Order: sequence, then structure tokens, then C-alpha cells
Amino acid sequence: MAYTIRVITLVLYLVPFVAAVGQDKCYQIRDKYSGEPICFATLKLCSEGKTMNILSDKEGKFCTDVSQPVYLEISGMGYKTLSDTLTSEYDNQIELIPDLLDIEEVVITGQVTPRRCDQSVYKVTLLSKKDIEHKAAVNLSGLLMNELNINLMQQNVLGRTISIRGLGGEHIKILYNGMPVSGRQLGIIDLDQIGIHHANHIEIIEGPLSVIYGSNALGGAINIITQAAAGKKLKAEAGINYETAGIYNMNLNLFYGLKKHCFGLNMARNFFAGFNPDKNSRFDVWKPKLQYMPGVNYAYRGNKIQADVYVDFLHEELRDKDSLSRDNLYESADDRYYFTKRLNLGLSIGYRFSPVSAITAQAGFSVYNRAKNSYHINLVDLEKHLITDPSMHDTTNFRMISGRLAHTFRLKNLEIITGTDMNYENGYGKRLSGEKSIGDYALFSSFIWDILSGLQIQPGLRVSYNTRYKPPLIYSFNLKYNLAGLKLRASVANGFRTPSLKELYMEFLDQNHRVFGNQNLKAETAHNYNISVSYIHAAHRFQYDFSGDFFLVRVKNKIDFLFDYDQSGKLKSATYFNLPGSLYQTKGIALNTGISYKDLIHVKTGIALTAISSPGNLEKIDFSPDVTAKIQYNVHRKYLSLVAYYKYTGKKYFYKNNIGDATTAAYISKEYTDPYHNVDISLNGRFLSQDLRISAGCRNLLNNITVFSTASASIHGVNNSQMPVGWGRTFFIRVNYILKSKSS
Amino acid sequence: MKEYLFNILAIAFLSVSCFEEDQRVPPYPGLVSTIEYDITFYQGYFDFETNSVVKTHHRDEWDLAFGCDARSWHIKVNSGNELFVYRSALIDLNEPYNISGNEEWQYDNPTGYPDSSAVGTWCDTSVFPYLSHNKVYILAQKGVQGYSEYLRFQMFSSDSSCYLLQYLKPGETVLKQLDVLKADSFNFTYYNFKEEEQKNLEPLKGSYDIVFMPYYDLVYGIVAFPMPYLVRGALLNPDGTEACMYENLNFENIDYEQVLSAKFVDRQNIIGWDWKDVSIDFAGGTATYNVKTNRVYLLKSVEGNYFSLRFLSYTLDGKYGFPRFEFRPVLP
Repeated sequence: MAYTIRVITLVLYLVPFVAAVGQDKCYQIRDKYSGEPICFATLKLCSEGKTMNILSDKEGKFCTDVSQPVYLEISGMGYKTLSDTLTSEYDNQIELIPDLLDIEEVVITGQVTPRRCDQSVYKVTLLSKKDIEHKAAVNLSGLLMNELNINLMQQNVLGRTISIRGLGGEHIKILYNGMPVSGRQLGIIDLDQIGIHHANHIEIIEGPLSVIYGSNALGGAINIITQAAAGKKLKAEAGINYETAGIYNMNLNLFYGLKKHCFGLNMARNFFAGFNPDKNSRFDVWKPKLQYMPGVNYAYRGNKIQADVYVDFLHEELRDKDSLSRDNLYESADDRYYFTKRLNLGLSIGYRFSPVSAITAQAGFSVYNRAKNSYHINLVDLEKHLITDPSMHDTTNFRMISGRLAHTFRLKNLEIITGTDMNYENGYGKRLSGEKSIGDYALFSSFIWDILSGLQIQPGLRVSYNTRYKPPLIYSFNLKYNLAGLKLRASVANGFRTPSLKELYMEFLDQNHRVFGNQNLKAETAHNYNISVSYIHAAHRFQYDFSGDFFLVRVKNKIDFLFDYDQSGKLKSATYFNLPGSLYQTKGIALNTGISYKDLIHVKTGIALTAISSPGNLEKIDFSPDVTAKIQYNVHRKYLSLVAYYKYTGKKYFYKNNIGDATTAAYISKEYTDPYHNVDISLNGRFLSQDLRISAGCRNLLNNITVFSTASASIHGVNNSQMPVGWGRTFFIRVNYILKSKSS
Repeated sequence: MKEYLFNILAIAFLSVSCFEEDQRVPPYPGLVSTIEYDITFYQGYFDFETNSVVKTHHRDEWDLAFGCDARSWHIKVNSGNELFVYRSALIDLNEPYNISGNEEWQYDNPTGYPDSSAVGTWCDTSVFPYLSHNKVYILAQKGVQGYSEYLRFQMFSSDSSCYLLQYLKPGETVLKQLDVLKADSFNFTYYNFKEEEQKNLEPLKGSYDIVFMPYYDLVYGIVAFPMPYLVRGALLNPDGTEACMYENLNFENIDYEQVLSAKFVDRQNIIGWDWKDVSIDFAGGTATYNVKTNRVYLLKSVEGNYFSLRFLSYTLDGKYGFPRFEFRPVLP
């Protein structure tokens, strides 16, 4: 019974088992600075043509026969990999240096083959499981909140949208284990609906990835990599999270490994009670919602074949409650309920023909369904009925089928990937005026060539066919040069984005929106230039790093809104259109520095200046600054840390295209949103042999709720308005518990 | 024990993390009425004493209305159904006339004063029975393509019992004579030329106080110049209802003192349509309304009783066209 409860409650951590090896000499692996033993480090021992993989034990010890020199490679989570030759004279205390910058982590987004973060020709930002833990994040928006160059905006019932380097959510590809996620409302995917409770890590690439991922990847990609089960063990992990804003989250992850087979089951329930600064109002600025996110996955790890299958589902109920006013006699309300369902189904099979040749086939099926139902509720007798007017209800459906087949081949200093990529999206619903579809089929190829020691280039090409548009030839050229600790990266690429089905066909009419699609839209094309330099230096117990990035993006035929207003200056409707006769440009620089002392203190700071040009006038630009900082103090390297995040979101400028009236011609108005500071702090502890993990802290310490914005500027001047940026200062606590099964 | 603790915590979490249920609220304390027919298409006659809509009919039930008072010569045109009058220079109904687009199309001034009507003073009002100036009036209906002739008519006379006129419909060559009989118990009697039928659409003239209906008025602020526009509003019963209007008067505190100092007028559109703001989307063909709840009216009913009145909303089940208003008797 007790064991059953342990399984249900779930908290079991993978305890790798220790392989028995020769007992001739024993060693202990320790942290170089703290001296603490490193348990379960992976060791690869090669001697006389034989290779053996073992793990260090709970005390960081392992034993092996060293009568002959043994080639040794040790990697431990959070440590730099050590390669050396082990002889009988070798000291029995082996020290690993903490990897303070995550550069040893392996990334896959946009890569020919998985490779270490620092070896990628792309500059990849990696957010690890530890980052998720420190931020107590349950979804993508919570995780990206304080990241440099990334801005989130709350869009009423549509949720939270993202912009990276001044390019909006429609230019950012959201990937789930490498396969695109479908279901964009007004061009955006609600990041609150992208759960990360079972994520292993998240990879972010700022910059174009159109060669590999096609449309929507002009501005970058965010790839959520879920955890893969491993080991012959049952592992369970349960977590609960409470935040004083009325957030109650629970999640449960189960993994079971049986030889080469791994099974996973995950489930999350997220609840948010909604928020309005006016506590007496029934209406919520931040809508209350309840999410269920179940999922299952299976992985097979054979010698030559690796396979992954996953199914993830989301059901969200969001309530948009009407306010009580004299209009409804303070006794009745028309509430809108939004029900969203997302299904992501994926299959990935990799087959290794030889050590230098492999093929990967991926297939994805993504379903998005959003229904709006309106109810009239009489609050005197609490009688509720569905409003009969059909215009108060609607349903939108999207289905996306994605497929990818890629062959990778390695020749000495050349890695080549060649493949096909197909995406077919189909949508139907009232707002789309029937059933509509668009397909994109492509051949792509890219290779990484180590020309000289430290010099890598990666050209790429994509030829595609689109059922509605004629895409140009997509190319990219990336270069990386290593010089001691200095890494120089440069890239030139073009991109292409076809208008989405919504942008083409949508009719979105309700009390708050009047948005019309435009079937005459042209596809966007873009040119993207990036230069970045990074430097890492480790000296004694200090480690410094610095990086600087410059980017320039020019988008032709950028799809934007054309706003129309009524005589009182209120926004009346918006229509999609291509910015006429000009380029849209964003450019900017970002500087990041980090310093770490032993594994005790980590300080990271960043400053970014991003400029967007006025439509039709590339010379007229406005810079928006962002500043971020992260300070982490490890009271105890393993067991207790204090983390503070700071972000200054500078004054953000944007331009609106407006229709004129009888007295004014069509014009462009410059809008802005006021700057604000945000500070989050958390105290993170690990107890009971790290099985119990508790994070507690304060979010939005400076109590931001709204900032001034001129977003609703009208033809008659400016209607001052407030843009919601948060629900004020809140306190949170997150508890994760891991149970380990006794059998191995 | 740890697992039990975790389970208990999880169950506690589930029990509190649910959508908040609505709490009952007390009913609104005032006397509230809602016109449940869309006043874009229907005319609804409301009586304050009985707090009821005493009669409703569709706006296209009539074309012209004729004053029923024995001495009345007042003719109204149904601008709510997009009918307009052009006072032509013709004197013969059979004389050819094609709408040129330069006509000055008239609609009744919603004040209700007879000399401000679209047809205007069609007769010599100094001599009774009234005899016509014999003008030919072109009655046209406004549509998406512009004005199209509905019919043309020529008044002859009005005496204590009837109106005499003749009319000609487009495509017809034979003139039709028409007697419209006055009905003493009504303010107006109505004629439908399509059905060629006289109708008494109104309730008895002493049985209602205001009528909600569509009609044309000059509206400022839609475009750069004042523009005739189809509005939806409330007009007073011309048989004696009077009203006056206040901005920002505390509705709750209105008492008989207020009545004594009030300057009541019989201008029929004193309430009118202006108790709401409208934002018009020409391209989308829609309008957005906000009711001015700070606007308060004092009303003397046709029966001589006083009421305070304010509008609360213009929406029913999410659709516009349904006025909701609150009123209270103001007693000495």
C-alpha cells in the first residue's frame, strides 16, 4: 500500500545503477571548488579497443583496473566534461570544474546533429530545468518573462504573445520536440497554453531559421524539448505550485524504463483565478482559466534505432466575465466562455546506418480547437442560459500535419544534412468563412564544414513549393570562428512567411474586435544579418563571459494591421494589409556579461537596444532599451540558492497604420508604452537527498499592474490608456517531490 | 507519511482551485421597463401609468399619416421606413418627371410641428375647409442605390371629417382618388399605399405617453457636416405629453419641488434619440451605442401625472435597438 501511494504521489528520481568493474583502484570524483563528491557522474573508459560506460556511486566513487593506461571521459550534470588518461599514478581524487555557463549542454534546434551549445554555429540560449525550477514556471510565458530581447504582451482573451528583437509572435516558430505547434489567434500562439512541466529544457534561437523550419521562423524559434525516460527504473515526480494571485498548479510526471524502452506519463492542472485591480468588479483584466495538460510518451533507444512517440493534450477553459453596470441593472451579465483544445502528436524515428550516416523521420499532427460560447446569467436567481444569438458563439479549428525526413552524413570535417519538410495546415470555422487550407513542401540542405581549425561554416538552402504563394529560394550562411576563448559568429539569411489562414480569411467580429482578413495579401520576405562575438575566460575560481550581438532584419511586404476608427476616436476595425511600398526594419545590439565565483555566486547582466523603423522611412527609428540581470547566490551548491531576476523593459515604440477620414489622409501614428522595472526573487532549497525541492519567493516585487500606453491613439488625438503588465506583487511557493523506487 | 502529506496537499489544492461561483445580488430597486421589440423596425407605444407597451406595429405598416383633429391638416411621412418627399414644381400628376439626383428630399422635422413637416403647409390654413395649393409631391424611398419614386400625390382638401387627395404609382397611368377619414379618438390615421388601406395603427390618443420608433433627424458629428440620419428614439404623444431634460441631475433625489420649477415643453423630440452616443462604422455597417445615464427627464404624462425618467441601456441579449429605462412617479 505504501509503495502504491508512493507511485501515485510520485516522486521518484532516476537512480542509475552502478556497473561492476574491476576493483584494482578506486577513485572519487569531487567538485573542484567545494570538494563535494559528485554522484552518478557518467564515465566512459576505453582500453585496448574496448569501451565501458559506468556511473560513479552515491559518494562519487568508482573503481577500475588501471594495469594498462585507460582513456577516461567523465561528464556530470552541471560540470565540464573531463577527458584524460588514467594511469596507476593518477591521484585518486578527480576534480571536475563546474560548468557555470551551460555551454556543455547539448542543443538540437537548427543543428545538423545534436551538439554542444558552445559548438553550435547559431547562438542558442538554453533555459534548463534549473531555470524552470528557479522561476517556478509552469508555462512558456512564465519562463521567458525576464529574458533579454524577449517581450511579452497580454492580449485580453487571446493570452500572451511574444516578440523577439522587435519581430512579433507571427515571426517566431514555436516547436515542440522540433515539430511546429499549430493554432494561432491573430497570428500569435498563447504562450500560457504551452506547458513546460515535463520539459527537459527550452532552446531559443534569435534569428532566422527559415532554411530548416520554413515559414514563421523569420525572427527565431523556441523549441520545447521534453524529458525522455531512461534507465531501468520507475521515476516519479510530483509538484504543486501556489501563488497569491490565485494560481494553483499541480503536475505529475511518471517515467518507467525497461531495458531499451521508456514510457512516460505526465499530467498538469493549472488554475488561475483571474485578476482585476478593481477588486469589486466582476470583470477580470486577466481572465480566470483552468487548464488540464495530460500527455504520454514512449521512447526506444536501440543501438541503431531511436524512436520517440508522444501525445500531448491541452484543455483550457477561460472565462471572460461581464462587468455589472447600470446597463445590465447590476443584476445580469453576458459572460463569454472560451474552450481551447490542443493536441500535439509526434513520431520521430532515427536510424543509424553507420557511425557517419543516419536518417531521421519525424511526423507531427497538431490540432487546435477554440470555441466561444456566450451565456446570459441572471444574478438575482443565478439562472444561466446560452444566448440564442448565433453571432455570440463561434468555433475555430486548425489542423496541421507536418513531416520531415532528413539524412545526415559525416565526412571527416564535414557534416551534411539533406531533407524534405512538409507542412499542411487546414482550418475551418465561422471566422474563416468556411474551410481553408495551405500547404508548404520543401527540400532543404545544409552542411557544416570545419574548414580550418576553429573555423566553421554552415551554408543552407531551401527550395519550396507553396500551394498559394511562390516562395523564393531560401538561403542562409553561417560562420563561426574560434580563437582561444573568443567565438565569432556571423550569419546572412533570408526568410519567407506566407500569410496565415487567419490573416487571409478571418472575420473576427465580437464586442471587442472587428478584424478582417485580406485574401490579397502578399507573402513576406526578409533579409537577416547577424554578427555576434562571445568570450569566455576561466581563471582560478572565477569565470567570466561576455557576448555582443548585432542584428539587422529587413522585411518586405510586412503584414500588419490597418486600423480604422469611428468619429469618437474609438477603434472600429482592423484589416490585415501589406505595408505599402517599403521595407520594415528592426535592428539592434545586445551585450551580455556574466561572472561566476566558484559555484557560489553567478551574476549575469544584459543590455539590449532594439530599434524599429517607421513604415516607409527606414531612417526614422526609435530605440527601445532592455536591461536584465540575474544574481544567483548558492548558499550551498546543491541544497540552497537565492536567485534574483531583474528586468527593465524600456519605452517601447511601435507604429500604427490608420485609415483617414473626410478631413485627414491615411496616416501612420507613432505609439509607445511606458517603461517599467520588474524584480522577481526566489529561494530554492533541496532537501531529503535532493528529493524534496522547494522554491519560494516573490514575483513582481515592484508591484507592476499597468503602464501607460498610447496604443489606442485615434484620429482625433490620443486616448490615454493603460496596458496591463502584471497582477501586482505576489508570493509563491513551489514544492516538488521525487520518489525513488527501491528496485533497480 | 510524506506521501500522505503530499496527497492531502494535492486534494486541498484541488478543492480551492476552482472557478469562483457567482453570488446572488438583490434585484435592481427601480421601476424598469424594456422595449422588447427592436425599435429599428417597430413602433412601440408606452404608457407610464400602466408601465406597459400598449401597442406595437412594424415600421412599414404605413407611408403617410394624417392628423385626426377636426381642424388638422397635418401630414406626416414615414421617414423611419426611408420615405422622403420632394415638393416638385409640377401641378399635374401625369406630367413626366424623372428623379435627377438634385432633388431636395424632405423628412418631417421630429419636433412634430406641422409647419416643419416634409409636406409642409400644403393648403391655405386661413380658410376652412382647407384647400390645396395643388402642388405635386414626389414620395420616394431611399435605398442602397439612392432614391426611387414610390408614388406621387396631390392634396385637394381637408375638412372636419376627411382628407381628399389623388395619387399615381410608378408605371401606372390611371390616377387614383383617395378619401382618408379622420378618426377623432386618434392623433393620426395612417395610410398604406402598397396595401391601399387606411389603418388606425396608434392606440387611442389618451392611452400612451411616448412612442419609440425610427425616424430621420439631423445628426452632428458623424461626418464634418450635419447629416440626416436614421435614428431610433422616443417621441412624445402630441396629445398633451410634455417633458424637460436635465444633465447630471441626481435621479434618486428628484421630488415634486423639481417639477414645480421645471419648464415642460411639448416638442415631441425632447427625449428623442440623444440619450445615447453612437459611433458609426460606415464600412462595416454597424454602430456602437453608449447610453448617457446621467441624462434625466421629467415627464408630464397625457393623464397629467409626473414621472422622472432615465435610460439605462440600449442592449438586449447583446443586440442594440432595445431601450431599457427606469422611471418613478413624482408625487406632490
